[in-house]
Amino acid sequence: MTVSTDRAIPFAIAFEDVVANIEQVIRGKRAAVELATICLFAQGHLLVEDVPGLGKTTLARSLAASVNAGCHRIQFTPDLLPADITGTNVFNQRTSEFRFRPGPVFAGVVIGDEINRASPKTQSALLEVMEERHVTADGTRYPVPAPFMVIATQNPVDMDGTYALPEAQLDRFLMRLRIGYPTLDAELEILEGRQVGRRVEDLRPVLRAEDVVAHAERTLGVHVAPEMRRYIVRVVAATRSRRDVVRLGASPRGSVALLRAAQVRAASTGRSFVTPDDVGVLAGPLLAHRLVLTPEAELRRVTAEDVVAEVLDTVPSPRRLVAT
Amino acid sequence: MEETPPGAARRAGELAFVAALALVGGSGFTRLFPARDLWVPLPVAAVLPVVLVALLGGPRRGRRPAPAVLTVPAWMVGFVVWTGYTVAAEAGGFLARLELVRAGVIDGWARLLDVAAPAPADPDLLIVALAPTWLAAAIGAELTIRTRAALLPVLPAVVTLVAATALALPVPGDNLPQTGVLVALAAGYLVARMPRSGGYGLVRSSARGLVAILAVLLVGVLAAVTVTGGRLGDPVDPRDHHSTTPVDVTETSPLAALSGWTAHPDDVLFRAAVTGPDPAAPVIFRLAVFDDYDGVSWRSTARFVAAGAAIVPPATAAAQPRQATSVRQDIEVVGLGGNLLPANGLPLSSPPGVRVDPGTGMLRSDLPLAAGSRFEITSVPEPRPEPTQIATLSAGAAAADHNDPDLAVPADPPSILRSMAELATARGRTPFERAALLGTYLSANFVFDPEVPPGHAYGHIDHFLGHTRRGTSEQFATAFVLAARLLGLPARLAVGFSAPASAPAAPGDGAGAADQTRTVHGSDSLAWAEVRFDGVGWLPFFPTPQSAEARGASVAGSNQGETPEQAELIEVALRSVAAGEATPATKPAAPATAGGDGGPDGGHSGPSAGTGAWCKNVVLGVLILVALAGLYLAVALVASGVRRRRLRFAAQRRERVVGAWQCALEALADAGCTVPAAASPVQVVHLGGTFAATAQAGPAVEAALRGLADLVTIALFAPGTALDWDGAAGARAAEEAWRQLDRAERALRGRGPRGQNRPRGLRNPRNPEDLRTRRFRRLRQVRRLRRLLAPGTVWSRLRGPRDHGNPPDSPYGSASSAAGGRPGAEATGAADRDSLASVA
Repeated sequence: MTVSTDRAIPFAIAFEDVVANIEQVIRGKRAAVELATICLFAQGHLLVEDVPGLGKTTLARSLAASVNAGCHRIQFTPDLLPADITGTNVFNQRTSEFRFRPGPVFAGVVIGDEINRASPKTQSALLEVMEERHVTADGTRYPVPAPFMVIATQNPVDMDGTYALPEAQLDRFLMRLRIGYPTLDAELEILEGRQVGRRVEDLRPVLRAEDVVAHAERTLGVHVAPEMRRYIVRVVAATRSRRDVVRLGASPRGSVALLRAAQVRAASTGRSFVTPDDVGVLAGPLLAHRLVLTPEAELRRVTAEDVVAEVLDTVPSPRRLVAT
Repeated sequence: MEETPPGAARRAGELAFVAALALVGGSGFTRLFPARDLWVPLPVAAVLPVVLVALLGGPRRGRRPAPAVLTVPAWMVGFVVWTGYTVAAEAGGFLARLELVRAGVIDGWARLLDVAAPAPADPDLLIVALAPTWLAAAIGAELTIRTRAALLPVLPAVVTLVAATALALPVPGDNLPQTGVLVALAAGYLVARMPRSGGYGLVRSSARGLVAILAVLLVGVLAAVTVTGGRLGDPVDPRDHHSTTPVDVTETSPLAALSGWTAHPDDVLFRAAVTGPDPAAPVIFRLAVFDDYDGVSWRSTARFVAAGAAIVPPATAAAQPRQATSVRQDIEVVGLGGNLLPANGLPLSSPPGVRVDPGTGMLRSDLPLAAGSRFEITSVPEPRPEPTQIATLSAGAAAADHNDPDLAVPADPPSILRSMAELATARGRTPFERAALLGTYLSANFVFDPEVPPGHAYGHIDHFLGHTRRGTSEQFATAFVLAARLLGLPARLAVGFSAPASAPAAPGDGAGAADQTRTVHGSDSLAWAEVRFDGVGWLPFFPTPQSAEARGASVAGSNQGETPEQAELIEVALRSVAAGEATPATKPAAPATAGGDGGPDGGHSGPSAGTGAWCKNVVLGVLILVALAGLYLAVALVASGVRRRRLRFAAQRRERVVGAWQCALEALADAGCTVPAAASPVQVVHLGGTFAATAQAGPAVEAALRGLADLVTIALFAPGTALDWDGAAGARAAEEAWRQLDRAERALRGRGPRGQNRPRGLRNPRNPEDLRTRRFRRLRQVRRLRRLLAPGTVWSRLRGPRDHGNPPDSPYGSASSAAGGRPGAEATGAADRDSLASVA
């Protein structure tokens, strides 16, 4: 039996190209790499959160290097100002007029390293551009190029002198990724890779910027059955119903993100339709950072990921046809 | 598999079954109308609507059947027209016919309940039988051509038969033959409705369905036989819940007229030509029966109903063997007024315009009796016990039931009544002896005097017994009845005539001895008492003595009314009393009521009878329990088979695939692998495969589940255009899904002792604790699986030409926390998960 895959197949190839390219540098973390790539094609922003030394920045740089879309990197520090990110109007003495000098956000991939080290004012400067994809300076709008993806990293352990990201900003990230320690074999491979393998600087782009946009639009056509839409809504709504552990559940923006990412994941496996497994794999990275737990739950060291896993265990998988 | 609409021949066969079913259902009414009145219209009513529906609504080639809004009014109008021009044709004009049909359909039921069985062949009553038959045939035919239901079209015929059986309850006989034929036809219909295409599973499910039906029938018949054989109760008679309006007979109360008749002893009331009894013996004509006394007057509770050509005698009389052939009476009314007709015995037929009270046999003409009018009545004599029988007769077995109206005595009866009753019957041992002693005591110690003013209130009785000791037959009979009721003997009062022996050459009568014409005068009128004996019925007692004043043969009411047979019975009873006094040791200490009259061994039979009844109840209870369990089992089997069939032959191919998946999940659960509701098809495959591997069910389970999961994933989640569901590919997919299900079930069944064939609800008596731990184990597996989930081991066939090159086994094994989005899961450990579970 065959399924119509005429639209999905070229995308699956492109997707696999990007993943394979990154995997030349990031070893043994295929799942994380795939999720990051899904985020790229879903045209969302990625928050990588993990302890130092696990390759957060390397992942971000590798992804940026795989796409020929221009990459800027911002090292967030407490004294960073909003204008340092978005750009500002500069007086040109020769022409005697103000000219907008674009900041580092004007790039296809923007890497925000240690984003929680900047002041809230600076962090929120990213808000507008992340959501609306343009910068407003002195009343003039300056759109950022497409594709536009912010990859931010942060360290959850050493919290001294940091400013936790506000809920509004967390919600703008499509997914929050944790890389985790590699296995012993993978770590051994990394050591050997240092000797013979490639560095980020050696990576060559495998996709053009316009290819990324075209593929992203193509994945919009992946079929989502009514049963699946209902399932997604139920999963997201279930995070809001756990009043005992969740103070604030996922928003409808979470439903939209889940649907969009599931479409990309389905297309990446060559499928032209979404299944519950797509949702099952993506729900944790996509929903956990949108939940605000109750203080009691935090005291009991319940994590948002636990809550999402529990929700997935309780929401019944679609097993009946919905009359359309 | 492609399903084509059934062929015309097959459809015709099904419709023929429907017509036959309706005919059998309607034939239950033939017991109510035994005069063959239904033999012609009933088959027409069963066949015509089926033909109508088939012609109007039958599927045209390649099109759906005509809408029901066309066919239903058509057969409704058809019924009205047909009945209007056949059964109701004699009503006259068209509107009158319509009115008759309307009355039959709407009011016929109630009228049928008012009519003594068997019912007369009135058009409005016949419609009551024809309408449900027509309806059953029409609805059955509609359901046959419009639905694929296998048994539903049989239901209207079954309902018709049940209704007919309930209505015909008072008529002797049963509808067992019809029931048997109905069941056979229903089975035949079911077989005719079974889909003809399909493979192994279909044959199996058909066979299972048939076996289940037979099991249900067997259990039902066993239960019915057990219940009716054990006499747990009488069948439900709709007449018990329908009250016939009582006819008020007080305005013409014969008891009030009695004194008038005796005051004119020579007036001729009526003449009766009686064929049957001995011409030399007097014949008793009973006019009215009074059974309700309120301390002032007697009233009758008779309910007169219209009757057909024949009247079914009440059960008490029917239980007694007929002692004589029927008696024919030609009655010519002369001076008898009122509406009530005199009759000897229990009427078997009533003339036109005469209603009958089936309980007492009283007859009432719709019009007041006029001089010269003639009535022909056939009756059976009331049962009379043999003289040898009277010693064993019991009365008032229902004495324990204090609601017996025939034992009711109004409050504060005259004290002399009770003392007289006890004094008179002190020597009697059996109910009959006591009744005989009571009658003899009254006739021996009190004087008949026609001059005494009429009346039978407590005051009259007190005056009669305590002071004057003179009275009329009205007072004698009332005193007897009240005394008998005080003694525990069910009794009532009757008014009638004791027709003297035929007068061969009576001048003026103008009748010869040959025709046994008896002329009844006012002097022959009489009131007497009747006592009810168990198993025999009502026996008359005549307490009124011959007149002490010798006024010749014309002294009114001096006739006791006793026939020689009754006199003999009394004689035997009195002799028995005298003989009993010779051996007083056998006499019971107290004048016990009839309940204690079981005889000298009554004391011994009590406990043994109790033990027997106890054993019988236990056996009965066990039988009922077994029958209920069997019924449940059979119903569960049938329901499971029906559901499976519904899933398998759902209208849409996608639904069939999804149905197969549901059955597979249930099969897994039956085998002991409960799949969480949250598990996706891929996860179910993994769980089932793991389970099958640990349970040595072989790889076949996982392979079959995987194939099925592929199909159900496409059916549930892929766009409708992914597969040509309406075409051959869809049919193949649905067929393939059920084939894979069969394969999985076979593999699971071969695995262990847990029965796959047990219906749901009977399976796995589960320990809740066990269930919970099992559920958590599965959930943990699902969670792990979600983390380990490869991008499509199952999807290898669905993927594009290029594989991702993942390692086949758990490519995410090294990346569990990231893929599952569960950072720190290893760090936080199981304790946190447990705490979450406890929070949940």
